[in-house]
Amino acid sequence: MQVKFVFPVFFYCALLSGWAWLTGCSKHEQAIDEARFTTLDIKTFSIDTLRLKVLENETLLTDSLPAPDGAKNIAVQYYDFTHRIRLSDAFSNRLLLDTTIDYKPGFTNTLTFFQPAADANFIWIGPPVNEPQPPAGNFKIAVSYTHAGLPELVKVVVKTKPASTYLATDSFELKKGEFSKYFLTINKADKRPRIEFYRTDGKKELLGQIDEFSYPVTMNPDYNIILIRKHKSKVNEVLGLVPEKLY
Amino acid sequence: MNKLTGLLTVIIFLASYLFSFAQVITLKEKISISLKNTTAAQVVEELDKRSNYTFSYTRDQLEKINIKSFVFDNITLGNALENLQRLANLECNLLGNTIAVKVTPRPVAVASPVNTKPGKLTGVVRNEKNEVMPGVSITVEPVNKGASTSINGDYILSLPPGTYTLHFSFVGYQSRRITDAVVKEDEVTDLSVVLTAATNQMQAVVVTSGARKESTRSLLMAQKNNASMTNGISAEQIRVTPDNNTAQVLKRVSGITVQGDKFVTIRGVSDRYNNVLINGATLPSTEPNRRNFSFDIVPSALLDNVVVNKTATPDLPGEFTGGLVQINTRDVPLTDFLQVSVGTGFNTASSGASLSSFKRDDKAPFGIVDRNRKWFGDGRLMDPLDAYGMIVRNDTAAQRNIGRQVPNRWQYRSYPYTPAQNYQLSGGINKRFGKSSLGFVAAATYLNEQFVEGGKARVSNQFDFDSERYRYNTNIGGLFNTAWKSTRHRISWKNLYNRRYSNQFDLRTGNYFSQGWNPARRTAEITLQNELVQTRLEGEHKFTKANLKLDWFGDYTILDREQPDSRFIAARPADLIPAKEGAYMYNLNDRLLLLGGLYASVLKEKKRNTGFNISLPFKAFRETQLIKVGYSWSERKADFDAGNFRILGNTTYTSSVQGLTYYEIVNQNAFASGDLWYLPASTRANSLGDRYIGKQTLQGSYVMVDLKPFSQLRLTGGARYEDNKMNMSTAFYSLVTGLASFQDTVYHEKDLLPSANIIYSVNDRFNIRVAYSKTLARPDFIERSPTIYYDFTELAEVIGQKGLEVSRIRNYDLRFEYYPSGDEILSASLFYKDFDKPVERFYFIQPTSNLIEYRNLYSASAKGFEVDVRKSLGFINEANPWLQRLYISANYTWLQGNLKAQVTESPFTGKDTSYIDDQKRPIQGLSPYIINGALNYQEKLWGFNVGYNRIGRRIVNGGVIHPLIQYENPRDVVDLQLNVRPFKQKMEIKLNISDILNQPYIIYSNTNKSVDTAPGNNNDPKGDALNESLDLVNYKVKRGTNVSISINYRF
Repeated sequence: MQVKFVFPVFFYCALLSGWAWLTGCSKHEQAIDEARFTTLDIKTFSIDTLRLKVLENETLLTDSLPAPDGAKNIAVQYYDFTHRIRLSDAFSNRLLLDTTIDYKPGFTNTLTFFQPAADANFIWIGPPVNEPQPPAGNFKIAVSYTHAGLPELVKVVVKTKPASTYLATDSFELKKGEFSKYFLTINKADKRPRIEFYRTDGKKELLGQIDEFSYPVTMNPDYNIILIRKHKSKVNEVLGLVPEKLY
Repeated sequence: MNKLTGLLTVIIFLASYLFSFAQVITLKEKISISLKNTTAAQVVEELDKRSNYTFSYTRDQLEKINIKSFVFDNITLGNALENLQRLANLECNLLGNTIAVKVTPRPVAVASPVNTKPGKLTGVVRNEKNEVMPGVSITVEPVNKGASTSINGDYILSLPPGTYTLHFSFVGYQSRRITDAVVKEDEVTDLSVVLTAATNQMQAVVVTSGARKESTRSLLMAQKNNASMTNGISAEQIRVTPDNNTAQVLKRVSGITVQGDKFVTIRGVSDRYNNVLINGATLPSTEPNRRNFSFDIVPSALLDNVVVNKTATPDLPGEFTGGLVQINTRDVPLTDFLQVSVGTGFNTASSGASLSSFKRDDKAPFGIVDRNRKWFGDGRLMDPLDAYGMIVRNDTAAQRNIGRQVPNRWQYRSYPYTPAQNYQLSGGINKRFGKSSLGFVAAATYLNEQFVEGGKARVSNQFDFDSERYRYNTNIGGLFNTAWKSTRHRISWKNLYNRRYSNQFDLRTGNYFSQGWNPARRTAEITLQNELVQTRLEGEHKFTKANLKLDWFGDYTILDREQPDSRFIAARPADLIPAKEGAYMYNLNDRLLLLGGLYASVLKEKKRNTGFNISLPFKAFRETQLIKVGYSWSERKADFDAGNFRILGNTTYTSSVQGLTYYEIVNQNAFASGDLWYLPASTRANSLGDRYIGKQTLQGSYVMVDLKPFSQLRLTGGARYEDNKMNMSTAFYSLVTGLASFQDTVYHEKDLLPSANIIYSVNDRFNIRVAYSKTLARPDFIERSPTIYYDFTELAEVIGQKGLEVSRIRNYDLRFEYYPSGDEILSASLFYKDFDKPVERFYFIQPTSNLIEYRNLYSASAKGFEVDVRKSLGFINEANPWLQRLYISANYTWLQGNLKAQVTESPFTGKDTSYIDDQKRPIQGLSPYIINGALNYQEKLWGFNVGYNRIGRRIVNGGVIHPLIQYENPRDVVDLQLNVRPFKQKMEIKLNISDILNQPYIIYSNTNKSVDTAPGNNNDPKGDALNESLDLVNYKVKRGTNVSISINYRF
């Protein structure tokens, strides 16, 4: 009786072991990571005239990006948010920028490459680091200027419109080619800030100004960086300056 | 006209062939003969001289056979030959005017070694009415041992290992001599026998047969003697096929085709016109969107036999037209046994590939769905009424709570392909207590299979996709039967459990023309879990000397079918500038369900059946006659609840996640923060979802007579009365209040269903049958409920009709059956079916999705003939044992159908009209022909079976708009099985290769090939046949060849 059932018991044990082994194989699950997609809206603001080459990690995105005022849309797929971006002169291969950039979710990621001075390397205009978030209903702006009509140093006065009239809410000195601190303004299309540029020699001469109607239609809801290098008018020696969105 | 001529030619040829093979016993020529101390050769010579027949024989062989006395005066030549057969162990066959005489090989008992253990021979002896026969005398040659059958008709013989000849005899019956009965050491061999009642002329006849043939013979005898026309497949035949489940087994039965590997079409009549009984109990439909039974849920290992009734008798349920499939699971054994089987296999199209799906359930190998996926249903996370109420109340907190708990399973996963696994364990015990016995049989089965299919999927005006399909199935079955038997009573308790888990993941990419998306990607995952539990108590009692028989039954069946957490998402090319291949975006702001979402349904069905039958046999005209009456009651309750949900989000969130993957976008945190939410999204306007509750009470009673006015004629007939009440309550959850409003419908149908079967036995091997019956097909709950079932994969709404009427069918049958020997059959049948108000699945292409509706048509007819052959090839060379064991079996069915529809809207003017239109096509599911063939060889240690199957073109989705009709293209299927039996035949190793040719499975429409045009006539010179250069191929896939090996060991 006992002997009769030894083999069956052995058989079932082998059977169960085999089953456990085989079903175990199907546990080898692998998550399939799908690619994310975005369009890189690449822009160049430079002093020098160049033809640029852009590498994303080891992938060549373009070797025909013109500067200044170059623009190119390139759709890319990506898995990691962080990318090494290298910008170089397509002819001389001189490396002009080597940085890491985090792509944001969205169909468009704007990459603005800015050359602050002639023969200088480029910098990537990206979101601020360690800059506190603006309160709800506001956004922050930083400015830089390369306009030839403005001196090397200016006094910047920011006027905002909390109610029906514009009031000066901030002021600082700014050097040509440098970026100002972020200042707070109201995030409403009809309440864009007025930014005035004065001489710093004590005469408080108004050199130029940005009115509320000159801004690009689309502004980021959090941080914006604008460049002043052109003017649209000149009235009584006061320049009507054009803000260009770098970020 | 040509077809009719051809048909008649075939019938005449077949009839003449059958008659030409008639038995020698029928030879009426009178002779007298007187020879003593003679030889068989001299007797044959003498008969040759005295008759008008020519004899063919080998003189040398017959000269060696001595006969003491062969003296007969004025007897028929037939009787003389029968006596010669008996005395000289010869076999005489009549072919035309020639009588072939051959020597039957004499079995030799193999001497067994002294130290071997004895084996056992056991079985049940029944008569041709399938009644057990107590007191049958059994003698064993050459050991001269004897026994007799018990009151239950069973016997058991303990013998030394060897090959024996058994002689079964009983007063009034033809004695039966079984050769080649192999007794193996310490092993039990089953040998059940059917004895045939002797006529006056045949009292001295001994019929000789081989032991291996008996199982098949028993089934064929039942088929031969059944009042209705049946076809069947025995455990013996199932064993030599590569089939894993009942659906595959049924493909082997004459006139049966299987759709989608699980639904059965019998005699060309689609699945909804067939019925199924498991152990005599009717079962609920296993499908949520059609009236059907999925035969793949019953593993073949649990089967004892399958019988398909093709004509009705009053004692059978009236609700079948094509056929009634009776699945009989294993009965209790006569002796103890324990058997284990292990199998594995692979599919050539799948092996080496990876399977994709959303996250597979942790316990999928056990057929269990993860608990967190069962979020829909009463009392669950998303209780329909609560969930709909909170939508209406805009209870965002509650909605967020649900959202954060429904799992995010949207990320694709990859799994290595695992070979199929198949395990079976069965055992039985039988204990005798004096004149009674108690037996148990239990079995458990496990099957896990995975498949990968790649192909094309297209619908006119909608899409043209490359299709990948991944399937993962687990099937777990169990059975526990017990029976107590005494002299005149038998009580059985039968229990069946089955759990089937299937997961199908479809990934389709290509041109989504109707949406203007190219390329687009559609992903759908459907998980189904079917759980069937059945318990049945039945009894059989014989009273009085007249053997008044009472049998009764009561059973309870629970079917739970759940489709939990099904998911679907359509992706369009992302709005990137410039466009980027492979970049997709998803809609998160439109209610339109076809853009993606979740679906879940729960179907709970309970069915109770009870009834009894009383049979009263009596003698008249020197024959046993029978009156039978019976009553049955059945109650079925169903509760079906389903919900569709879209995932929607606010604009700020959705614009901030553009370019991300879908599984990143629809993360649980976004639901918890209210950026995303689930929105009930029924395709029906003003409704959040549907539900139905159905109750059906069916009572049936009948009176039936089984009369034999004289020995060759049998009349079976009577009438069955069925009273059916169905209450349907369909609930619609209001878009405004979230509360359910009901549409209730009551149906009450009373039907008198007469039937008659006439069997004329030309001789004991040749029957002619004529049958008439009226049967019906009742719409199922889902067909009568306006509930919408949304088929994500095919983008089709499946909708029932409240006014759907019962189809009533008149069936006419004529059949010729010839049984050359106990395990051989030649049969030919003619049949005609006349449908009143048949029901079809209509298929419509709509601008955004498709529609499948059940509709009554005006009338339909189906006519055809079947030919069924099972024959040993021993007749080619009678001395060749190899050919003796080689059997060819084949069946061919030819069908033609016609369909008429009532047209209520003019196709020309669009105005109301009313006329009956001949659709010039057969009813859905009807194939113009079915061919099944098999070549089977089996000897002691090895065997093989080669099978072939082909079905003609058939409609899978019908309708009255010709270019929308979808056909399944014929394909040739060849299967092969090899088996060997080492270890004293205790082990059996089977190698199965199925679908060797691996021809593509194609669904097509006779419409414009281009998907970007509306369906229209394509002027195909091939007509309805597939023409890939002109027709639209809706679905085309190569499913691969399945190779499997299994090892079976019986302890």
